[in-house]
Amino acid sequence: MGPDESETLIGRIVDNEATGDDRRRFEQLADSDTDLWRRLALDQIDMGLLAGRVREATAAAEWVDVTPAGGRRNLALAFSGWAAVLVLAASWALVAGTGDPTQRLTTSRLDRAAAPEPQQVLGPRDHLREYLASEFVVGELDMIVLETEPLEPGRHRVWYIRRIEEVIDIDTPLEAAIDGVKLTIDPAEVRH
Amino acid sequence: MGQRHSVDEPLIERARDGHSVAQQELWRVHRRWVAAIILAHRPRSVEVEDLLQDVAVKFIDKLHTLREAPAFRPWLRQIALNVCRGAARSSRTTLRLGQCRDDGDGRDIGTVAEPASDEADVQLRAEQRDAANRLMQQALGLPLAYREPLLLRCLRSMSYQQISDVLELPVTTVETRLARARRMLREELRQLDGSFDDRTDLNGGRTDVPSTTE
Repeated sequence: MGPDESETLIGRIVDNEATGDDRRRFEQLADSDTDLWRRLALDQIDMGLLAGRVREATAAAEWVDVTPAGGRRNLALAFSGWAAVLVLAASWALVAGTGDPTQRLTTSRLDRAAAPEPQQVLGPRDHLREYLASEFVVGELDMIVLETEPLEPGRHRVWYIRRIEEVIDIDTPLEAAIDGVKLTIDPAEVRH
Repeated sequence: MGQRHSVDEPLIERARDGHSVAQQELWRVHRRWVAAIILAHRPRSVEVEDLLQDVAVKFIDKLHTLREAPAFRPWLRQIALNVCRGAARSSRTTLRLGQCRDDGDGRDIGTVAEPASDEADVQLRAEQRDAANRLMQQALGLPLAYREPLLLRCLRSMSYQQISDVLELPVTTVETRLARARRMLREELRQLDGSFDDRTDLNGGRTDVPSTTE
């Protein structure tokens, strides 16, 4: 394997590509050079840390979906939650406010409002950005960690709560709307 | 070049024929490594997610032009490269206009809020995060020929064979480049640290190991 044999073997072990022969050969080499174990450990640590960081940096991929071409009927798949409500509300406003006697024109406007480009891709960040821009959103507080779980070297799963502060004006008595520090009414219902 | 493996040809063909479910599934299977390609090639002022969305649009738009299913990975990589190049051109224009939002001297590799618990945990996590960020910074500074396979390798799902499929390189070349990339990382870190091995270990103690004899 040449002068870089130990380096190649370490690479294969770290990358989980080593065969049984590779592992036996590595152990054989490490018998006469115990520093190889330390190098293996350090490379595993480094790759574990780097891999965790790369996974973080590419995590957004899990949220980016495609909307198939020509699939206007599939657009609903690209929208979710209250962003879909926004689109519907915009559509309704156009229909209600146009005052145009021709159904054709109304439909045309509705289509433009309700349907973005056929292949538009929306990620959670888009939805969140829109939500955070709402007039009833005051701001976001620090996230709270609930629990952590080690998955593998350099990688952890973290459960956390995002805290977003909203404000609402209510007409109902406070006793009916608040129980201790808990809001017992549905703000969306009140705003509606 | 080695034979290509692990490509789901029936899925690709169904997707190419316009089956929307197959298109969505095909994208989901491959989007993570596409993000790693973008990470390796993107201009520093542009977010991975934004570029990935552009790739997703082009993926659907151009899928019918894919000639051979086995060439799917290099084809998708080329789309990602084109999107990155386009972003780089726009980015240069923005820079000339003095409106670049990245005013740092390095890539924006993103930061994650530090979850807090007790003090020792916080310190350990901070050290791990520092080490991870430093490694990432060094990895992103590697020559492209080494950076790209290294970032792909960091995704657990990518084997040497799959990386060789994406990059259209022999497996042996991928392996050699990965080994060199790791060596370059070690050397860069050693230069930064003065003593590469004098590091805090992941168990919270000092490694206190003798310096390397490589």
